[in-house]
Amino acid sequence: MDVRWVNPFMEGARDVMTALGVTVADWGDLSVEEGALTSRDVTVLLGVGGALGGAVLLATDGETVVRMAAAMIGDGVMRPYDDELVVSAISEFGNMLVGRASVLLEEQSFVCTITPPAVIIGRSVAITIRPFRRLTLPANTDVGTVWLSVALKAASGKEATPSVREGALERG
Amino acid sequence: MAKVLVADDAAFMRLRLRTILQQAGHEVVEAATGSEAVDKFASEGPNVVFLDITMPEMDGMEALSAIKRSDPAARVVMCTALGQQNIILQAVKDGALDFIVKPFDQARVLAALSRAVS
Repeated sequence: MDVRWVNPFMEGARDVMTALGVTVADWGDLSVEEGALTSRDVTVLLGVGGALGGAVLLATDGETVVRMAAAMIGDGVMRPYDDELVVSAISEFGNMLVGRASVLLEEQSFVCTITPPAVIIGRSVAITIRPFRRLTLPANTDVGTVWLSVALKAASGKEATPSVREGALERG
Repeated sequence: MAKVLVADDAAFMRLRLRTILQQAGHEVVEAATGSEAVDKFASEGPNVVFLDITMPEMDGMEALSAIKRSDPAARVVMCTALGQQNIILQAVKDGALDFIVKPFDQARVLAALSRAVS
């Protein structure tokens, strides 16, 4: 998978978080993950189809998702991380992030469809997005760290080359 | 102050809109499906409807048509995620006054409401 596929999702995450009152301070180091088990308290999984195929995952810890939901809702109330409203908030966050990224990809002539988000509560829950390896990047925000994972391939099965600028894995 | 019907299947979105609108002094009625929005429109008589497009049972486009059939003067603002621009154009043709794109902020929501009631 081309690491530059991560860019539209980073931009989407930054745009959506900013609009929802969450600030991305910086991005951590990119890593490759292949394990099939969730490693955080809450994971949001969105399937991608069309010109690209695969999945995008957002994972975070319970305390972070609680603070994030409070910021997104705007009422400052700290609810349990498995509360319906908190799950609804993180689910919509995933929807908006990937929606924003899909617009950016469409501008590069990669028209993608997105499945509704699935929210997985709990660690060590098995998820199957193989055979795709996923690239994971932590976003350090003012409410905690959110791990963004992208596992995409061109629909033809061949690695596609996105028309973004060379070496453009942006940070900050 | 306006009476606003907020129709969205996502509880988070309903609460966010309710918080913004109530902080500005407006009365809010909620619906979680398109069919519930049509029912609440008839029973509550809101001044303005904020209508999500993707909802279960009856989606926002169908609900828009039903609401406009029952009251051609109904004032409806569509709520949409990015990437649904084509649907928005159809909604405007079907009688929606305006639209807001998620994630929306307080200023955008209140500006859309202000235009809808004016």
